[in-house]
Amino acid sequence: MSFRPKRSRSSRHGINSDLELRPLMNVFIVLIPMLLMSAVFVEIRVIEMSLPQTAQAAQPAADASFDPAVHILADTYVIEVNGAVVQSVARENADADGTLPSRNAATQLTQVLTSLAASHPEQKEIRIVAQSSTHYQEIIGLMDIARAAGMPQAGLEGGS
Amino acid sequence: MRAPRLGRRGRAGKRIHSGISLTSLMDILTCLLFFVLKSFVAGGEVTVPPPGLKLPRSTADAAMHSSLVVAIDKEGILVGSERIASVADAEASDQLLIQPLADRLEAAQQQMDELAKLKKAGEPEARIVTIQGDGEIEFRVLQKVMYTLNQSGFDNISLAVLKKAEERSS
Repeated sequence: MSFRPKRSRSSRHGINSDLELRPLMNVFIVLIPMLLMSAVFVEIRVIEMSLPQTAQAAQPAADASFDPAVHILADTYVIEVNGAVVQSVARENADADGTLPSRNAATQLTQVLTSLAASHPEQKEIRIVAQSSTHYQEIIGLMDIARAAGMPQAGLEGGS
Repeated sequence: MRAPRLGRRGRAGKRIHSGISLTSLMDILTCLLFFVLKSFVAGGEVTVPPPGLKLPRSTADAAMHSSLVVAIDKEGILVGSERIASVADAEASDQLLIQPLADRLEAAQQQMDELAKLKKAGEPEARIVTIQGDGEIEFRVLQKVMYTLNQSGFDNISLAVLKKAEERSS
């Protein structure tokens, strides 16, 4: 019985049984700020469009029997079908948070486009005819309205 | 002579544990590390628009693909991070084609073709390009950039936007 268990020796010499976490901590403290700094918290999404092939670029689709278009004019949005004006909506200044088209105009546009889309459910395309000075944000806003109304494929066209 | 000896003995006898207990902090840091790593994995393609460029906000929900990026900020047109042409020149020009951009796109296309050859892909990859445009740019610039892209053989265009929360119709 001369053998003595390990416990008594360790208590005598004071062996610290805790894990040595400090090196790992140092690694973490470097790694986490680095990852957080390079993280992107803003979600970037895309709107997909396909441009017409170069050869067909100049001619619009001739067989389209239903051809809706939204013209962005200086003070109105004009919704046309096959060249005939269906409705025009007053184009107001941007909302306080910079939303264009303004909420009021957006509501009216949504109503008209939804009824157009409902009458021709197979129609997925709409033309957006913009002025050369129209801001990009406004075009994207109109695309959103058209998509919500059920016409997800928007074609861009330059007006006068 | 006596006092210090007493003190030493007292310390050795009590064995005060002086290390900070790091285990709970380690738990927090481990959770944080996994969270950050997961957000990287779930994020898919990560691109950062050039500084100063404010993307328009939209309700679009399509995820971004890896593709060539053409950025249009208020001053210039960039391919990748290289400034190719200025917006003022593009606006002033009568032509729809932006020549410096067309040249750069041609070079990019050749690079992509060579890469495809090296990869020995069976069929050529679709030529996708992502436009990161500032919300304030005018349509005439966008129109010219799109026309140039079309002429250079890039038919699939994605417009990059920032996701905004869908508005509830009330």
